[in-house]
Amino acid sequence: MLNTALAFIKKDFLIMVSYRFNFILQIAYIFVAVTIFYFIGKFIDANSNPFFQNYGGSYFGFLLIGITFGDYTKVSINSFANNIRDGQLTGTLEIILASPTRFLTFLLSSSLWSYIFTSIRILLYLFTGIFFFGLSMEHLNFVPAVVIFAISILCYTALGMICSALVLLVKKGDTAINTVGAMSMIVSGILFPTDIFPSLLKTISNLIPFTYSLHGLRLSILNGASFEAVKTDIWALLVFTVIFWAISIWSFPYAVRRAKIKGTLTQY
Amino acid sequence: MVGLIHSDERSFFWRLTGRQNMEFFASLFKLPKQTARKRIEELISIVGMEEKADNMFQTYSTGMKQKLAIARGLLTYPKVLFMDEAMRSIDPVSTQKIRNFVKNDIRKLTGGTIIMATNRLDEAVRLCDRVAVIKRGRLQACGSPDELARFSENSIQYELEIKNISEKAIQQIGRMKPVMDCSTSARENGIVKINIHMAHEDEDIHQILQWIINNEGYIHKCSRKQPSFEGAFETIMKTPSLPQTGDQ
Repeated sequence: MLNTALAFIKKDFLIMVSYRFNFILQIAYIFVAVTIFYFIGKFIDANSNPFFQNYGGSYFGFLLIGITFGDYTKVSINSFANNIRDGQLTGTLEIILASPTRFLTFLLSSSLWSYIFTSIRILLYLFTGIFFFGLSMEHLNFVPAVVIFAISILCYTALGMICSALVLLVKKGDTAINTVGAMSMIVSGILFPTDIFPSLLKTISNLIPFTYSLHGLRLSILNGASFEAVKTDIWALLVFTVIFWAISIWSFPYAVRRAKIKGTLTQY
Repeated sequence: MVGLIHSDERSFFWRLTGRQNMEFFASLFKLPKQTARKRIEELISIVGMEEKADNMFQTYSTGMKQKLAIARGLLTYPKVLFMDEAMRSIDPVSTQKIRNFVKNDIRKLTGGTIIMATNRLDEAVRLCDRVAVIKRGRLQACGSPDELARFSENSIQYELEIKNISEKAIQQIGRMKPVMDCSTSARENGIVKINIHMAHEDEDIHQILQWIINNEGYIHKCSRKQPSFEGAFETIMKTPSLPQTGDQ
């Protein structure tokens, strides 16, 4: 399993750096994006805005955390489905499945590089914010932030498995996943606090796990919130995690079995 | 362990080198690193790609891609090797080289069985000890190429070259009792080439020849065609079901 995982990481890394210009641009984009966030943050006076008081009174920090962790969520939800789709389109899935490597091992291993690269990007976003634009981390409460982050990843991984089951069954499911994913991320408060929403949107946002991830992470990173202060977010995330894992444990093997029986596993 | 070689060049990662592709697939086949490294070197040398192994896959010619596919299929030295139309879309020179490689080297290397799916009859006859003909997913016939060639004996085929014969007379030959099929293949300098398929009895050709002579036709040539695998294949595919020959 470890060797297979390392082989996938190496392969994906080599492919990514083989597109040198794109690779450099992706890194450079981080500095450009953080600069834009910084000036938007300067433009919006969050200090006197009551909606931002819980988030350290800085729109720059609020936005940076929203966007960067939004990236992570996107990877968690999309990467499994995208890897299946890529394998189907490039024709590599068939030969991989003809090897003794289990389908689940393939799926998990093929997503590792996306997680690693997104983690590196998040760190670069934060370092750029801290060292070049003076993002304050003096209130950071590390442990609750890490716990919320870990549960979130677990939760979205299960969601990603459900999405990959969808791709196996209906092939072009990735468009639906991307649309729903993008809409739910906006509603969950990447760009603005959900407190400003009207009641209907607020109810919808309360049904999206990312709302709790963002809320908990922002509170613990920007306002030094304790476990007690973010316990609602942690519990909500745990409930979503259990539900999503229960569905994915059922749906994923079902989709693989069905695709194998119908012989459509490698079709696109 | 079962190996798989197929003609789809998309089954490689185009932006990795040949060697990097091989290393990746060796990991999927769970080969220990040392063994994998040694075997990759060995296989790259066997397929004659030492100089190109560190070039990107996307720069390879079709023949080279196919050679790498063969090397990948042999990574585990499988006892059973499936080749799925492995010589499709390869130029004739490379095809010949790969055929020789399959026939002479792979079997020595693995000591196992090669199962080859192909729609090229000449390939099946040249490379295989036993041939299975599959029609609509069902086994239609199975045996050595020689054994299967005998199926074409059910239809005896003659090739005649006749001077001074009319189209009407040819049509009449087609309607004669022992004749299953009669077709004209060429006309040159007043000589008509006719292919005649007959049901069983060899003697019936005499009646036909006699009829042509009586109708003032001049027989330039008359030859019986040897049973061929191609002919057998046609018969096999036309027949609803045939008995299998030899050990199954």
